Amino acid sequence: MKKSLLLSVFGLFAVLNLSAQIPSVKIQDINSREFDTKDMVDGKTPAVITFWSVKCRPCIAEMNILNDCFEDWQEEMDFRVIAVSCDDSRFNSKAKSMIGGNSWENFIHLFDINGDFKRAMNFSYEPQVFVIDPNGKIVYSHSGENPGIEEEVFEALKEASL
Amino acid sequence: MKKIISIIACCILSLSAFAQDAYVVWSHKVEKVEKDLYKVIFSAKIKEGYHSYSIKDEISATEFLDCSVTGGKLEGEVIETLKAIPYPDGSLCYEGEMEYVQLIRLKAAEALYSGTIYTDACKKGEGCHSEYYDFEISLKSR
Repeated sequence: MKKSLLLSVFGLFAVLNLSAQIPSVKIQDINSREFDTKDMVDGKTPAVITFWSVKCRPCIAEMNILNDCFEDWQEEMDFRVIAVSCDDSRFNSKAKSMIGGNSWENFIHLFDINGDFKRAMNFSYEPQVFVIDPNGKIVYSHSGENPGIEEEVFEALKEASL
Repeated sequence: MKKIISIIACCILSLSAFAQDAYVVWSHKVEKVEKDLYKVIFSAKIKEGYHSYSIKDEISATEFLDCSVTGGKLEGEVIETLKAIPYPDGSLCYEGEMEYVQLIRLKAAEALYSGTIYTDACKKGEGCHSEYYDFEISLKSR
């Protein structure tokens, strides 16, 4: 009884998280200009939001996987990849240099230097991936390493673009 | 009423399950090496099941950031005293504990050594958690 009640509460949290919307938080774009995260929602296309940091090995691996899939997926649907660096100001220039070094130019790059957006999205592990539909509803969320990430993200994007 | 209290208690329990402990807990001690030369030994306890990275790791290295000494100077670079474990992915890691040493040369009767240690605590299959440890260590000539 206790177990099922606890499971129900956890389930409720999971459902609440997935039906959540992108909060409005001020972060920076690649040109160090202010960017409001609610502007990630364009009303037309779904988006993959991936959180990464310069020293996080699985994050870099995941960014490369998404980059490899990007063009193939674009042939099937219109979508965006928004990469949010979680590095603080001390690693910001390294994050920017890694974008060019890894040819991640297909992505929209944002910088959560103070960690405000990460806190608002309520996760602690990186990599962290969300898929949002054109209206900003979170339809997929995964925290931590995931060897099969591309299949799950692709399915979520297809569903979100319907 | 009992039902309401149980539901609230369950919610609080569930929330506490999301709360995070520290993944890497730092401590330090100071030892005199010779006249005006001291070594600061940083020890880290890494949470069970997690690993952290050597200062020699190519990608995820633990780093000493913004280090400065008022009333003294850094003597050489930070060195690690334990042997890192080479992982199959090429990374150099520590499990359980790691230890770093910095020598400080005092130029006055008292010195203040400060900085930040950046480290990533990672767990296979889960991901990584970045941690910043700010320190301020007072050194007195003795």
